[in-house]
Amino acid sequence: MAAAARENYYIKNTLICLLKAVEGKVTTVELRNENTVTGRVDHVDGYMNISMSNVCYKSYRGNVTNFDSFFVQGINVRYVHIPDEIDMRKAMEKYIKLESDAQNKVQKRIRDAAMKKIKKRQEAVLKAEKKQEEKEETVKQSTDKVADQT
Amino acid sequence: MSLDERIYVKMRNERELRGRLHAYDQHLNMILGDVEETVTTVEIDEETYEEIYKSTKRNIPMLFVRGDGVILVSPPMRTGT
Repeated sequence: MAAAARENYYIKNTLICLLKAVEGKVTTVELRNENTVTGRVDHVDGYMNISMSNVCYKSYRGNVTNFDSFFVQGINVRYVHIPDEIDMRKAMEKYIKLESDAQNKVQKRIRDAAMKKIKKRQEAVLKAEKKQEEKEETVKQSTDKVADQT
Repeated sequence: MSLDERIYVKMRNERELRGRLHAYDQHLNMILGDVEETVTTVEIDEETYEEIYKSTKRNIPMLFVRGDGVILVSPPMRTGT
């Protein structure tokens, strides 16, 4: 559970949110070892690990191999080409909105709980005061009675 | 700051990038637009043993750069300065 939270943190707080926008598109990833992988990006995770399908793996020497599915470890990525049709601003806004919505939800919950507590306390105080008043009332009544008798 | 300005990035493996900085984060992952990559290699002549510097250039419209390859970021240096 903590691992997923960490990944989500990375996705929302770094530029990986932009790589998430490339999911589903065909693009080229250049690796640290100078080889390039061109294909459809299936999934990008918080550590920049990229899983792709239908790839064409070109070595720097020019050797080409085709694979149906391919997985690149995040640390081996040097560049990711961003296809022109992606609207970066929209993609980043989407993730920023997700993050701010989640934060607002949590803050609202905290606020509601605090209000509830305050209300409860106020009611308890009111009740105590009422009881005190009633007590004084009965005491007053009994002293009046005694005064009437004498 | 330098957002949407042209910058010069020096990277590991004798690479340099010149492009327009669109976004960056705390790891120095960057989005560069209209980028020109220069790879510099040194070859040693077998007979004269002198060093020959060769550089290869490439143009890419929009590039995501992983931060761990970045050494430094600066405003563009005009060649010669």
